[in-house]
Amino acid sequence: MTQRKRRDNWFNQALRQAPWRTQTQATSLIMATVIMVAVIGTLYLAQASRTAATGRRLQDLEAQRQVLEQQNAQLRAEIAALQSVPRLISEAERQGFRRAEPQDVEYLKIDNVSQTVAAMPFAPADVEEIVPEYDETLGSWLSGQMAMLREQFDLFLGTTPSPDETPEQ
Amino acid sequence: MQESLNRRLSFIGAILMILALLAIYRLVSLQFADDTGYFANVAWDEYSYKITVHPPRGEIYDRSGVLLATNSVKYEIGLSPVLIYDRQGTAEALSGAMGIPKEELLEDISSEAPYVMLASRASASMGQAVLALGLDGVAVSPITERFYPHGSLAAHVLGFVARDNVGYYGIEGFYNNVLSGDVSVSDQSRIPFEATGGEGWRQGSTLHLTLDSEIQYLAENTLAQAVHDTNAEGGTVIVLDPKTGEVLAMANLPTYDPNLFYSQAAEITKIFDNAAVSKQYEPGSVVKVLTMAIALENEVIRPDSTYEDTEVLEVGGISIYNWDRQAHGVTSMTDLLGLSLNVGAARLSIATGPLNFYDGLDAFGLGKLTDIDLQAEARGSVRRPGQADWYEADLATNAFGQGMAVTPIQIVAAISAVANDGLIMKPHMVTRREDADNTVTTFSPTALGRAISEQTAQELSAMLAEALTREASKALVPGYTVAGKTGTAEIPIPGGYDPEATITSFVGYGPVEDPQFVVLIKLDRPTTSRWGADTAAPAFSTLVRRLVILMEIPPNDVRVALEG
Repeated sequence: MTQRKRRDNWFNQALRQAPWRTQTQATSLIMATVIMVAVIGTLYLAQASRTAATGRRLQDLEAQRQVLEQQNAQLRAEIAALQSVPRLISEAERQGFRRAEPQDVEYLKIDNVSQTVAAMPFAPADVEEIVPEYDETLGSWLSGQMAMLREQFDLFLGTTPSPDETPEQ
Repeated sequence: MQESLNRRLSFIGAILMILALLAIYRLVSLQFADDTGYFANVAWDEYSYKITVHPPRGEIYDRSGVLLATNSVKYEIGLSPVLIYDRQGTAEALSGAMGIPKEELLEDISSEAPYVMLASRASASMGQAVLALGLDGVAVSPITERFYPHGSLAAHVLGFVARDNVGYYGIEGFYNNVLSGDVSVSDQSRIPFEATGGEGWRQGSTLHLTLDSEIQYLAENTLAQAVHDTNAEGGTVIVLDPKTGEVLAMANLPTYDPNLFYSQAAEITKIFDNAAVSKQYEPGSVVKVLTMAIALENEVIRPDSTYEDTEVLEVGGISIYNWDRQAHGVTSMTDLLGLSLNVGAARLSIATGPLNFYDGLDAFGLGKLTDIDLQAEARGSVRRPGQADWYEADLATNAFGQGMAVTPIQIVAAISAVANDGLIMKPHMVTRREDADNTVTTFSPTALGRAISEQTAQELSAMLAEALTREASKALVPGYTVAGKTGTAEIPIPGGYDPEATITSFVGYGPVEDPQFVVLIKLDRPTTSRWGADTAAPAFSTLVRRLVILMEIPPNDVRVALEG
């Protein structure tokens, strides 16, 4: 009798003594599969719903951006109309101002300044506010937090040196 | 029996299994095989829609950063009657926001039409008021529109943008591709997690002009006053920096408001033409400046030369007369310019010879495009020897600006060469272009070439300034030395010249010691006088008196004191 036949006999004997073991195994396998599929499905659905929500929010933000850009353009147009040269001159005349005549103008010599440089009546249009980029790393955030804690600890102990007491470097 | 049943069930099971496998195979092949594009397209068409993004058109600024052209928002307001349940409430709310009678709105709401337009271009305030109501069945769609905050100021320079978002005339036309940016047309998925932002579009570039809005306003006001005072049909004014070719102001009358370009009647759309670059005319006596320059350059004469002025000069079968039909005897070159003598000018061009004379005019750019960055520049026309329509008499008449066609910008560019020590600069309108990706392109002044030598230019400047002083010209400006020349041109009509009407002009520059501006004033058909000396010259003086204040140019005595 080979070793394999001996093992089959043992297995058949075990099944004969407790036939429910086969059903339990099958049920466990099916349950495990169902649970795995459910977990995968849940994860997929969670991810898909988050993606969908983000996509919807993207669409909303896009629409909002367009509205804000349009409102911004409208405000710029209104400001430009209020600053228009014909309007400013008529408003100045209404307030009693008049144009300078040649005899009203006085010229002063200022050393080291070119005569030909005219005053800039308006700020240059291409000056834009520089928005700093977000460049904080985990390390810099942690060190910042530590510095804040240390400062608060020093304040608590009353050991913070005043600016006058700062030692010379 | 049982065995037979099992066999049959097995057979059916096998058949079903084969069918199931076939179905699975087909599904897999449809999903992954190469030839499934058709189904993918059908599916994509079902859940996608096309979006067109018109990027904001680039803005236009003057040299000091004053906004000349921008974009504003208008609203299209309409309603879908079938979607409105509370008709009374909707009509009442809309009536309050739009100022339309409630009965009229009720009629629209009761209509069977799928969509009723209430306003195609409602103002921003009205559109936002209706939007805030949040009414069912009422659609409020924003529309971006070009807006010119200064109204008609610099209308001919700027041009306008039509409702197809295409620029016409002036800067809007010439730089349309730059200003309009790149329109993006893309497919957008209706499935939220496939949503993307509008991509692929490029905002229009921003342009900074050489124009100075304050000088432009001054030039337009002065021109309007001159046209009114002389009862002219219209006119043109150009102010240019001779050292750089930058156009500081350019205007024509009659003009229009580019915000309301559509209100112009179809038959008068010629009003959109920028006459300063598009309209050809016979320049008249201002060309004597160039004739004198060419004669000096070719050493035909010297500044102190004289000639015997006669009443008439016969050339090529025609008689040349002075404007006063008088003989002036021994006349200096300065007096030739001051008295604007046709006989003397014709003698100069004949003495110079046709080859040198026309080469000289060519060097000054007459009859050639200046390539200014404005739409629809006209070339002009100067006939040359050898051409079929050139006659010997042309050599004489061309010397005083008859028998040729030029544009105002050509004359200004040519005279600016005299002011700029003989170097002719290319007239231009844009100094800087800023693209959406922050790329900045600066346009530097460009020299078109040397028309005359520095010495000739300076000698001629002195002669022109002296000529104005000798004749006590109305173009003189107290406190400043200016040089210039009047022009009175007859208007060609079929068979000759209009005996009644003229085109008068004055082109001058200053201060002669260090020229910083060239000004041309041209008046069409003035009726108070037919002479440039009485119509255009005073307007030049009026303009320059204020121009020197705006440009911060001190008078001669102050400048000498400051330099001392």
